[in-house]
Amino acid sequence: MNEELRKELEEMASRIPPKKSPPPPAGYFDHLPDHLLDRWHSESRQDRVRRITLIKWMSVAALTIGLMFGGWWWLHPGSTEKPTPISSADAYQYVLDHINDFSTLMDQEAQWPVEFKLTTPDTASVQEYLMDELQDHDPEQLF
Amino acid sequence: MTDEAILQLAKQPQTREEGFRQLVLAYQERLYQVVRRQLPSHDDADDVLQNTFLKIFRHLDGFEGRSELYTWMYRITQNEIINFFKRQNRMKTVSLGNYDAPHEESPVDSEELILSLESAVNRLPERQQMVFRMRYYDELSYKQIAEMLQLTEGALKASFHHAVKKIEEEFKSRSLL
Repeated sequence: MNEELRKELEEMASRIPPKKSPPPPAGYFDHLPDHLLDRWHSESRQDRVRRITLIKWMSVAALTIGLMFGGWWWLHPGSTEKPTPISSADAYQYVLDHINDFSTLMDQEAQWPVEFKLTTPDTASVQEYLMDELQDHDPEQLF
Repeated sequence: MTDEAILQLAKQPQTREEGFRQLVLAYQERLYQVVRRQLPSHDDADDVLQNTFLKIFRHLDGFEGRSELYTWMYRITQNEIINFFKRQNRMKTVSLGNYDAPHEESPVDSEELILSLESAVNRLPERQQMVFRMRYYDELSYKQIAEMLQLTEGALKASFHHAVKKIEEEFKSRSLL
């Protein structure tokens, strides 16, 4: 028991019995430091071997994956997909099924240039056109 | 050799081995008592003590000096004792021990008193029990106990004195004193 604790218990007038700790075998403490250092060296060696083995296996794994990937890449170059032809009936059905998707296109019809719009000419314009065409011709002769 | 000198040796690669040796020489007996008190046999205590020192060697570089060296080592020791009991499928905390059974190798000077003391300590409230064991059995200073339990030294002294008084009262009631 250390002196400080002994004094404290004396001051308290304590009558707690002295503690008795079981002693180790004779010579135990003489050999413990050497034994511990031997174990420490042995474990350090094992750690080094384990680290080297792990690095080796990781390198082999990386190389294997690299070779597999490279082989696959070499044997399967990139290919373009040809579109499969579609029949008129399928195209028509598709338009009907997705008619709403074409609504924006139909809304744009009002904005088309005038020359693309189909209009029916009026009667006066037709008569004027015919008069121009028949100007040098005798109508009696035509019919 | 002081703790600072030991740490200085142990942290340099060329003197690391000497530092470890000095560390063991300085603390082997004290830590052995801490372990042996809680384990039933010398062989088990030897196993735990060796594992404790190896763990201390491994982590010594990480010791930042925020507590005393012995406090830090004591914590590692207690953790190794807990791990030992987990491996043995028996969970025991720092504050409890199998003190109902006598130690096989315990000297028989006043065996009844020693056993009575152990069972009286077991009956203390948890905190008083911990403080008593750390102060009386493990001989930690109040400063070291305060670091571990995050209590003031004054509170620890009061706790220890109350524990001593309770034990003495129990002894008186059983006419052991």
